Amino acid sequence: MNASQVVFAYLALGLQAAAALLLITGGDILAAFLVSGAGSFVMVLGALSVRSPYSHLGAQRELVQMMATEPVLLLVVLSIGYAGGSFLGSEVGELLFATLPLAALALVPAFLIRLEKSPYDVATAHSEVVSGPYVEYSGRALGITKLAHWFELAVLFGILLLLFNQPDPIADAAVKIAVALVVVFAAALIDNSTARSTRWSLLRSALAFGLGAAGINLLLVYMSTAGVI
Amino acid sequence: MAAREMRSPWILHFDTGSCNGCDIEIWSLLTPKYDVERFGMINKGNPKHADVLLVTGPVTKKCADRLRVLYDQMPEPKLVIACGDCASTGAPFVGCYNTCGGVDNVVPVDVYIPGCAARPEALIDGVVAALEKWKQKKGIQEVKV
Repeated sequence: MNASQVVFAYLALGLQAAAALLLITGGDILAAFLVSGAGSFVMVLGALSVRSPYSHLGAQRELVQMMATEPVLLLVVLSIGYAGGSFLGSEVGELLFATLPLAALALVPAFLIRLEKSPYDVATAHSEVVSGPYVEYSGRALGITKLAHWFELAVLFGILLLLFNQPDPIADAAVKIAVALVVVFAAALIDNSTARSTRWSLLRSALAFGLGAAGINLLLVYMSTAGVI
Repeated sequence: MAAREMRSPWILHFDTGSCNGCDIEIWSLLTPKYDVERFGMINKGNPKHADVLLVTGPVTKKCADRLRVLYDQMPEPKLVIACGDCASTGAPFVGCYNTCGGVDNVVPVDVYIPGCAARPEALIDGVVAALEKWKQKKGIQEVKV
């Protein structure tokens, strides 16, 4: 671990926390997505700033993971903006899940990647590259990277839960807690029933599934607004 | 913060030429029967992430340097636990030409766990005893209400 790596860890934490804050306060979802993406990229820079080949391997794999998640997330955020009428979290419409069910489904690979679960845990792959981009971090700096990762997850959950906005505040909280629990349970189930995929099959399958599902949903919404169907 | 760290001692396990008896007992700690993760103990494959070094075996001369490197890579404050009779005293290989005769001849040891092989219950006890020592190293004071 060197000084620049520690700086990158703090920078990643700052960016991820800012993104989470933007979402929580009902700010711009697109901005939150981009700031969170910058935070993930800073973590890659942190992993590349040391000489350990394991860390470099983790960084390259993390980049592949970002290539698989970021386009899908962007398309989902754009779909929310299109179908919900606004990119502001506080103004996004209610019950978007009814309009965008496939967009929620498209986030499944992104959740598996960000929760570091099989078959998409290629960057941190335990018993293979130990912990990938985190391999050289230690002590307090490791804690900071973990905190940044939790904020990154908060952003991802925040984007998904926007699809489940309810008119009634109590029902809203209940439904969102239930959805979060279902996601965690489903991720654990998939994790325990699949083997780790290779990085290229990750890229192909996650990207094809995510972009396909979100794209088809967006097309259907567009066609129904245009009166074609 | 420091008190919370006490609840998540991450473990690094290193076999320095053991017969695998103690190693099997260590791995059994991870099974649902003993489930040490309930104490926050997670087995890590990376010395830079670990707080506790569990060493088995009498430390063969080939392994001594590797053990020292792993020890040096762990962040302070760290704990070393010698698991089993071989790691604690070198027995039954005392005086053998190819072993160092126990972990404490290579790196400082905090807790010795006897047994051939060391029982999983003794290993859990050993880690809990080591955590008390960790508390002293970190200078954590118990707050009594």
